[in-house]
Amino acid sequence: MGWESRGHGLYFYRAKRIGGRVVREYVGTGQVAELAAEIGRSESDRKDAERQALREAIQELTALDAPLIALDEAANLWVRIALLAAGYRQHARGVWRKSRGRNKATE
Amino acid sequence: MAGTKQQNEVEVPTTGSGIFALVKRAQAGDKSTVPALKKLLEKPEHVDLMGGNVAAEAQRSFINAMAGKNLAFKESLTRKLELLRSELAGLNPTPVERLLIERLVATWLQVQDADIRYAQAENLSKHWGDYFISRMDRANKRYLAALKTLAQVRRLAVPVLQFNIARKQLNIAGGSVVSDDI
Repeated sequence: MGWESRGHGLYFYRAKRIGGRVVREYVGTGQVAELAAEIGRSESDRKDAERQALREAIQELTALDAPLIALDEAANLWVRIALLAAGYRQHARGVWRKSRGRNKATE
Repeated sequence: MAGTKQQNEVEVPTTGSGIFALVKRAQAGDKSTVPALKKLLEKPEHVDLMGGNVAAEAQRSFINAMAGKNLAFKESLTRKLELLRSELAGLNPTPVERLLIERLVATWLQVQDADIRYAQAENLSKHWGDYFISRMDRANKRYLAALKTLAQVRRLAVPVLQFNIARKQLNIAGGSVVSDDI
């Protein structure tokens, strides 16, 4: 989106996405083009601010969830320990099954 | 007696890396690790070493985020968590069950947090909506997985582990009398 200078005139174009392709659309020149450029700028600023706010919210919530993810890892480790101690082995796709060989240590 | 003595002499790792190494050997099929694994599970301090503090931290940060400065809400939420804990724990939970219950409580808090944030958000754009919905989905999945794991551990491991702990306690109480008929 922007101004293009040709000869003695300034011409304002705006970019649009149509069916996945970016297409340049001629808006005009003079006061109408300046007004369109101003509207475009404020719309772009609004989107930038929204993106920034979303980034900050994601950072904040990621930090909030982080201890829970650490807890998940610790709890899963203890589940493994408990099931291994009880004589189970983890097979494909996470299924725990009793070991085939009888192990004196687990009895 | 000899068996009891042998179990008492089992060396148990006391650091996180030691525990990881032990689990790795057990997963590879090393059956000599089983007595050490059982011993690890008997003592709450071992479980707290890797999990207890993290559970408290996770719950505290959710409570603070949800309640903010509202002390009444904070208090009622804390009370609700205590009820949830006692409801899930039953009479005599093992240390691992207690850790899994703490995880369940923390995941329940995350589900509430995600739902409240989505419900209270106004004029959500598509990006915000997508993010909040995906966080709610992740929280729900984590909560259901935590529930399933607690049930799985109770069904598969706890009967065996409690049996072993009970047998050991009887050995100690009865001096040299070893009974396998419990």
